Order: sequence, then structure tokens, then C-alpha cells
Amino acid sequence: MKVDKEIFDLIHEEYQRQQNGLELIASENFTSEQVMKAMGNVMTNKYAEGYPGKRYYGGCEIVDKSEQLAINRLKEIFNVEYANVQPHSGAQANAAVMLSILKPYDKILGLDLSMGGHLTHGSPVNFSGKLYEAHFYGVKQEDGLIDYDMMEQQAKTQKPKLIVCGASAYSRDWDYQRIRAIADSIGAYVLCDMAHPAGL
Amino acid sequence: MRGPRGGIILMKNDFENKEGIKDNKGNLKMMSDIINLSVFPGIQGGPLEHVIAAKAVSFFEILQPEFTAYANQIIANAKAMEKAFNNKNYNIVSGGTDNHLLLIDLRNKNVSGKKAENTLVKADITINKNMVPFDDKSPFITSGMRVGVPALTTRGLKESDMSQIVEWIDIILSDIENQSKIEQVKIEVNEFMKSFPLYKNWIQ
Repeated sequence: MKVDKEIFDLIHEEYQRQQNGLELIASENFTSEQVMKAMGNVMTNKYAEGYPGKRYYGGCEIVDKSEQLAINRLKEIFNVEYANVQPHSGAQANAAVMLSILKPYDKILGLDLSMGGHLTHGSPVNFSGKLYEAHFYGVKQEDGLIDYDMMEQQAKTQKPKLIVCGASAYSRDWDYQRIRAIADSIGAYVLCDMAHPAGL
Repeated sequence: MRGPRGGIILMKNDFENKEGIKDNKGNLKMMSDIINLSVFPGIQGGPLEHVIAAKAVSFFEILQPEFTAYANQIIANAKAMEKAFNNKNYNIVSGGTDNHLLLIDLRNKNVSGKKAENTLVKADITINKNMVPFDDKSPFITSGMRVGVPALTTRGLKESDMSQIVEWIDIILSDIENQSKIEQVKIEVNEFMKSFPLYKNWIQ
């Protein structure tokens, strides 16, 4: 097969762009060479519907081991009982959690997109705002910090089944205890979208 | 977390679901089983095992002591950048940062987020426009820009480099139509980044 020069030239151009510039996008980083090496190899050839030990295809013994290793390491990092490493993206992860606990038209409460929230936290253009009835909390005008009183007020009036915390443009720590207490007071679940600060 | 693009789901403690969903034997299903079934077959088909292998490698890296030093350096760099923007009279939403990013309200600089993004990129400085709380401009224009330091921290930049970066950003945003200044900053940025090689073993 002929080499696809067009695409490999573009990949090299992108490499040079990354090498030469100042990268200040908060949701970007540079993975290590071994991370990239793990991504571009024979593992991409394997089809493995299901989970380690419970697959719908044969020949999964080795990918079972690597997926299980990913799960075990992740559980160790965050000291948690459960981890799933299959979501193709953060948006898919949020969709799967919502599908697990919500029915269409159930209420959710998330941070307003215009205040630093994420599309998947109830925006009308996203599945989360189309499938579910989304309500929002914001930040306070005087100091730009999360308005927990508004979150509590919205929680008590709307009685959402799910409260989503986390953001894509918020530079402060969250008061998780307060969020938990608000959720517990109305029997709601909490979904924390920690994509941004997880590595810290 | 410096891995490949992708998602994960975590749960601190597994529990019997509160929705009354039962398995074949009539027992309440664990939430972990319900979430697994929501990912596959719920919303996805086959997993990307090459990406999962790469996730595993990045988790391995997180478990090494160097990663903690890197995470601490991110915070230190973000704090240094906060100080540098404050010194130049930029308006930081929420007054500062506890993590890896800053959201800057550009209204006192009379430049939109869109204009800032489009101009800075000409000097090879990549940021993104962002709405600020109570923004009076549309999401396509915006009044703010979001800057984050994880990528530059991976490259090896330290606190002392942050004021230089803010200096470059400020030169451009203070005189946004000045093409020769943009060109000059670009030359300096490219020269500066030569000292921070990205991948040693890159082959075209």
C-alpha cells in the first residue's frame, strides 16, 4: 500500500505547531511518548464488546488483562471501589451516568454554561438538556464564586434527581461537603465532573 | 491527568440501586452493574482497547512520585501566572485560582475574547475565548479568555517563566492591531520554546 503522505505531512505540521507554540488551553496537555506508543499499535485491531472476563468475542484474554490493569490502577489512584475505563470521552461518561439513574424528563441541576459550566450539564443543545429537564445554579456576581445558596434554593424548589458539579472554566475549589448535604436533603444523586482538576 | 483523550467513571462506594431495578434472581442490582450496562451496551459498542491501554500507561505514570511533583508545579505556575496578570491590571474572575486555570475578564482592556484568541494565535500563543459570568457578549464573541498551565508545565516551564508569558500576551492585547509587534512576539515565542523540546524521539 502507498504511504498516505498527505495525512502524515499534516501530523508532522501539527507536531511542529505544538513544539513551537505556547500552549495555554486549559483542557490540553502533552502525553508522554509511551502513552502515544500504547495508542498506536495492534490493540486497535481487537474488537472486545463487553467487560474483562465477560466478552462477546473470542481472543480477548490479553486485552482483558490490560483493561483490568487500567481499572486496578485507577481504583488505586483515587481510592475508589468502582471504575469504568471504557467511555470514549467525558461527555460519554456523563451520558452513561445520567442514563443509569434518570428517566427522560427527570430534573437535573447543573452549573450554567455561561457561568463556567459544561455542555453536558444540561445545555439545551446537548442530550443532557434535550432528554432531561435542566435547571441551573450560577456564580455570585460580586465575587465570581459558586453560589451555593442558589444551588440549595434551586434544589429545594425544583427537587432535581441529580445535581451535577464541576465546570470547564472555574478556577476555584468546590465545597463538596456542602453539595453532598444539599443533595442528601432532597435525596438527589451527585455527579461530579472532575475532568479539569482530576490530575491535581 | 495527561493521558489520551477519553473518559472514565468512578464511584467511591458501590451501592444497591435506589430505583428498584432487579436482576433475574430478584435481587436489587448494584449501581456499578447498572453503570457498566449503560456504557455498554447502553450508549457504546466495542471499547477502544488501544486507548484503554494508553489510559493504563497514564495511570501508571500518575502512580510514580514524579507525577505529584508535576501536579504541585502546575499549582505553583498557575499562582505565578495569577500574580503576573494582577501586576498588569487584568481582571481575574473569582480573584484568582486554586487549580490549573485562570478565567480573565477582558472588558477593562477593551478587547473581546474572540479578538484575543484570534490575535494571540498569530504569535503562536494558544488560548481560548470564554464567556465570563454575566457576560454581555455572545458565546461566539465573549468577554473573556481562559488560560491553563498544565501543558506548559509538562514542557518544563517554571514559575519564573510565567511573567514572561504574560508580558507577551500583554504586549499583543495592549496594541492589538500592531502586526509588527505580533510578528516580533512570535519570533521570541518560537525561539523560547526551542529550549523545551516536546518529543525527543519524534520521527517524521
